[in-house]
Amino acid sequence: MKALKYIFIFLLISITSQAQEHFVDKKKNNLVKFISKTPIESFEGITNQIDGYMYWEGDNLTNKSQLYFEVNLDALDTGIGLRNRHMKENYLETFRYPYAQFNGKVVNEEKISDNKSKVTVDGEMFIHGVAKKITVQGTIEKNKPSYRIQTDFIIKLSDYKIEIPSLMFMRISEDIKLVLDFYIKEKN
Amino acid sequence: MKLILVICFLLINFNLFTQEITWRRSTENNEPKELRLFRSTQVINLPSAETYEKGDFEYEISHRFIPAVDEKGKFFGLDGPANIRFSLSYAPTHRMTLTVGRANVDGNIDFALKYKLIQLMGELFPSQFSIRFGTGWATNFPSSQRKLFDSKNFQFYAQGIFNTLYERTFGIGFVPTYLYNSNVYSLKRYYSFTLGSYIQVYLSDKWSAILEWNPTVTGYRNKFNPVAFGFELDTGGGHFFKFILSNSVDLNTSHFANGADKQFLKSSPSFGFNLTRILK
Repeated sequence: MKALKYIFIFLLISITSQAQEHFVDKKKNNLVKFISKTPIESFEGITNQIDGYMYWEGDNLTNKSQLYFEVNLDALDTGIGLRNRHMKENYLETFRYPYAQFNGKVVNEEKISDNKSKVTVDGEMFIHGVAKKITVQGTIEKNKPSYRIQTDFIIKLSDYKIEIPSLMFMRISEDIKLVLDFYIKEKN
Repeated sequence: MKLILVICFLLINFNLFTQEITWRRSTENNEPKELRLFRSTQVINLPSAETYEKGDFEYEISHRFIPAVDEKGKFFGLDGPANIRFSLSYAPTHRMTLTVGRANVDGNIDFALKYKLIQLMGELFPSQFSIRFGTGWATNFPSSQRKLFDSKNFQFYAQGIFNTLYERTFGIGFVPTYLYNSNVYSLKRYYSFTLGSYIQVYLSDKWSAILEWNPTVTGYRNKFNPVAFGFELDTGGGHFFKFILSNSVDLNTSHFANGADKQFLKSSPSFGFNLTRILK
């Protein structure tokens, strides 16, 4: 009888521990966009091919937080086929580094409404074979069963050893704005 | 007994609290990649096996200066006159390209369809094979004896295009070409079968050197086999400048495939260029 009591207590603890792993919900309209702005030419590239997970325990997103997201750079579309090729082959070198990856954790959560939090994430961005520590701020909005994640931030191409084309027909800014708007849902 | 139970439950809970991440990369959304070997869809006069990406439009304007580079008073031949061709291409799919062009030689209008049939994603020698069909139509034929739609004004050709690229640097291509009605000026119908080949060496992300040769294997040929040498400047975004020296001053395939007037190396070549730009 006592043994059954122990089992019940531990099962209860286990259930209430609420370990939550969430995957990117690929059925949603996910968006990853980069924006390059120069006085001569501005353009942007988009893809919906983001994947990865976010993990936390309990109600607080910072509790045992882990997250990893990756974007398939081969899927980036700037609207011009040959510009896509040029960008992927000569600058991003996607045949060597097909993914932009971010690995980190939520270090701060600040409630801004009942279902929305402003979060700060520390982690490492890996692009073009170069890893760099960055801190990113964004929001996470709970609309069960999904969570919507939105963020934008700027990266410098030189930080990732991406050479900027010097010739006149393709102006790329040294500072690239990344905009992410995507959804995660509890793993099935 | 109690101790065993406690240890078991502690282990269970330890596993739960140190849960391993189960996410794994999915490949379901990764579309099959199109193999890209040569950067441009055209080498000099011969095509590469490349096609554009779906929805792309490309405009081309090319010149072949008729005077040789050493002709006096012609500024390296650049004073002209020149053969000129411009064209517009469109890609309805990733693998198909349609082209319409016009050259000032006989008011020649040309149509072409290129389709990429096979791609082999090898590590050492990735390769691809395309086919190309086209026609040339001499709309300004210098004879009052022929009407606009006279069948002798039409030339037809078919090409197979094999490309491979070694170490992302050495591009090699073979282009067997069959041309019907090779000599549009003749009353007799000739054919030509040529075995074109080229090497393109990518020297940097912008510059490459090209050598192209189109020998006639059988059938009609003008005096000599066309040879061309030049450089390609890839400025990004689908803009290519090609600067060439050649013994041929022809531009469209149905003219180029029937040979050249001058012998390469034994007579001075003529200067030419191709400019292409994606319109979007």
